[in-house]
Amino acid sequence: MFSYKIVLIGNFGVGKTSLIRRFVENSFSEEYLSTIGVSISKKTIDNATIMIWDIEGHTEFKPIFKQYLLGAKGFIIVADLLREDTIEQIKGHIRLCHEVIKDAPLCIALNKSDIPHSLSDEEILKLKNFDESIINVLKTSAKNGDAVEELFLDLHTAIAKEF
Amino acid sequence: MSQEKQNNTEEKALEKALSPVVNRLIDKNFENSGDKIASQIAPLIGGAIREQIKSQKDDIVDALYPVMGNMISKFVTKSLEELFNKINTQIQNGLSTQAIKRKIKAKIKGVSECDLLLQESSHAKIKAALLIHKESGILLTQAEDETNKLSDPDMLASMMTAIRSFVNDWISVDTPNNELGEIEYGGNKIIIEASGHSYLAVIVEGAAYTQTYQDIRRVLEKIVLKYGESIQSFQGNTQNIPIEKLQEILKTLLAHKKINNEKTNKTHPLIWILPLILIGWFGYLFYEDYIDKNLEKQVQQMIEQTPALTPYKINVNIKNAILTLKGKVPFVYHKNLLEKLVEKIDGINKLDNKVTVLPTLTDPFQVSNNIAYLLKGFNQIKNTHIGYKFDYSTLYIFGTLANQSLYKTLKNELQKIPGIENIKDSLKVFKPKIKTDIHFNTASITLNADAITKLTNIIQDINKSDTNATVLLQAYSDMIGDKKTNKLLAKKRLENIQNFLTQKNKLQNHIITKIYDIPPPGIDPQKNSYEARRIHISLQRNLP
Repeated sequence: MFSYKIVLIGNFGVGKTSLIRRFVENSFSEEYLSTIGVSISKKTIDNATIMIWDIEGHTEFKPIFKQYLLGAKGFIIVADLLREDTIEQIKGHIRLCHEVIKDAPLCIALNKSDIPHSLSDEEILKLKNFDESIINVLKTSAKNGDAVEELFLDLHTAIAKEF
Repeated sequence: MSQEKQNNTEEKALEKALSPVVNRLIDKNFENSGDKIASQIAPLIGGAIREQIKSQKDDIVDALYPVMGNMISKFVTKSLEELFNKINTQIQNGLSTQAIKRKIKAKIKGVSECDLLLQESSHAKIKAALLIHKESGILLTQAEDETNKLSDPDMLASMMTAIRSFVNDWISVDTPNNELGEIEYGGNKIIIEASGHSYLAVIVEGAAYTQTYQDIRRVLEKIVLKYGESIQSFQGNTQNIPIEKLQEILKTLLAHKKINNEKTNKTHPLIWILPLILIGWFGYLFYEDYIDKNLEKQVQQMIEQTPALTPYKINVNIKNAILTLKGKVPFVYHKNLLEKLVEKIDGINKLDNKVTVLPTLTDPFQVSNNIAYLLKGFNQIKNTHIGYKFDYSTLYIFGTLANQSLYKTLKNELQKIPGIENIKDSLKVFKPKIKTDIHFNTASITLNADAITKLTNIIQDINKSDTNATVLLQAYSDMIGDKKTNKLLAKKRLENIQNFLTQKNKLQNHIITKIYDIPPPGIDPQKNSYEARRIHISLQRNLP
C-alpha cells in the first residue's frame, strides 16, 4: 500500500481544480470558483492512495504558500494555453517546487486544449527539456478530459517507481 | 381687606365653573396624544425615580420587593432545581469506589474534587486518533471508535495538515515555535500533538482535561520512541510502517476512555460498603479492646500498689470504658478506697462497683471504738485501769481490775463485740496493799486491841477489793525461850488470827500460814523483841 501527496501549482484560473475534478470525479463545471487556501482530493489507483492538494492559484499579490508543498512526492504545474504569462511562470513554479522538495518529479499540464491555441510543439519540447525532473508536458483539457488521466498516471508511475 | 376677600370668592367660583371643562380637556388630550405625552413625561419620570431612590431608598425597595422578590425567587428556584438534580445524580454516584478514588486522587494531585468530578461528568470521550505524517499530511494509521467511524480519515489527515501548516506559518511570524494545539467544533475538539515527523490528531467528544492531554502525549511519546525512525524514513510506502503495532498503541487511547465509561455501570455500593463497615467495626472493636485492656492493667497496678487492698482478690474488668469491680473485702472502707483510686484514672466512664463487703468482717475502727467505749465504762470502777491494743481480730488487754469478778464480766462483754476473735490479756486484779504486822506480848497469844483493829481493816480491805488473793500469814520468832515453845506460840497466834479472819467476818480467801523460828528480816530480837514477835499478814500475788 502506498499513500502519497501531490500538489497542483499554477496561476489562478488555469484550471487546477477542474483537472482534479475531472480526474477524481470525472466531471466538469463551466462555473469558476476560485479556490481559497487549499482543497484536497483523494484518488486511489491500484494500491496507492493519492492525496491531491489543490492550492490557491498564484497571483501577483499572493505568492504560493510554501508550507503546502511540504512532503509532496510530485507536482503538477498547470498553465493556461491561452495565457502566455501562465506558461512563462512555469519555470518559476518548478524552481519553487524544487526549493521545497529537491528533484521532485513533476508533470506540466497546459490546460484548456479544447480551445484553439497557438503554442507550438517546439516550445513544448523546450519546456520538457527545461529540467530533468519533468516527466511529461501534456496539453490537457479538463473540459473534455483530454490527457487528464495520462497526466496524473504519468506522475504516479514515476513516483511509484521510487517505492 | 374686603377687596382681597372678594378676589378669593371670585377665584373659587371660577375654579368651580372651569374644573369640569379642564378635566375633560386633559382627559381628551391624554386620549388623543398619549404617545407625545409619554415621550415628554418619560425623562421627568426617570429623574423622579432616581430622586426617589436617592432620598427614599427603603420605600422603593419595599414597593419593588414583591415583584423583584418573585422574579428572584423564581430564578433561584429554577437554579436550585437544576442544582438539586445535579447533586442528586452526584449523590447517587457518590457512594461508589470511584468517588472514594476521586477523593484520594484529588488529595494526591492537589486538584479540587470538583474539577475531577466535572472531568468525570463531562464524558471526555476519544472518538478517533490519527497518526499523520507531518509534512505530507499522509495518514499513517488511525484508531477509531467502532460506533463512530470517520467518513474519510485520509482527507481529514490532509486537511488537518493544511490547516496546521497555515496556522503555524501564520503564527510563527509573531511567536515562533508556537503551534496549533486544538480545533474546536460543536461539542468536539481535535487535539493536535506534534512530534518531529508525525503528529497525532485526536478527536475528542466533550471537554478534555489534563488527563486527556497527558494520555495523548504519552501515546505519541511511545510511538516516537519505538517507531520514530520508520516514520522519519516514510516515503509513501505504508508497508514500511508497523501499522498494526501503531494501531495497538493508538487503541490504548480509546480503550482508556472506554474503561472509564464502563465504570459508570457500577455495582451496588452496598456490596462493598458492608464489608467495609464490617472491617471498620472489627477494627473499632479491636481498638476498644486494646484501650480497655490498657485501663484494666492500670487499675490492677493501682490496686496492687495500695497496701490496704493488696490482700484482697479484686477482679477488674473493663468493657467499653465501663469498669466492673468484683471481689470481697472486709470493710466498706476498702470498697470506698477502690472507688477513690479509680477516680484518679482517666478514661473510665463508669464504675460498677460490685465489690461485696463480707458481713462477718467488721471495720477495725468500729471494733476499736466499741472496745474503747466498753473499757471506758469498766474504767469507771475504782481501782480498774484497763488499756487495750487491737490488732485486727486479736485484742490485747492489760492493766488492773478492781476485783476478780470483773474479769469474767469484762471477758463476757468483750466477746459480745463483733470482730474480736482472740482476746489476750495480761490483767492483774487490784490487790489492796496489805502489809500488816500483828504484835503479841511475850508468851501471849491473845489479840490485843491494836491487832483487832488492824485485822478488821484487813478484812474490810480484802472484802472491798473482792480479791481472792491468798492471804499469807507469816509468823516470826523473838528467839526468846526454846524453839518448841516459840513454835507452839506461833501456831496458836496464827490460829487465833486465822479464826478471827475466817470465822468472825467470813473471809473466803485461802489462807496460808508459815512459821519461821527466826526473827523477821532486819530485826534484832535482842534489841526489840516486841517487833520480832510478830505475825506478818500480806496478800499473795495471784493471777486470775
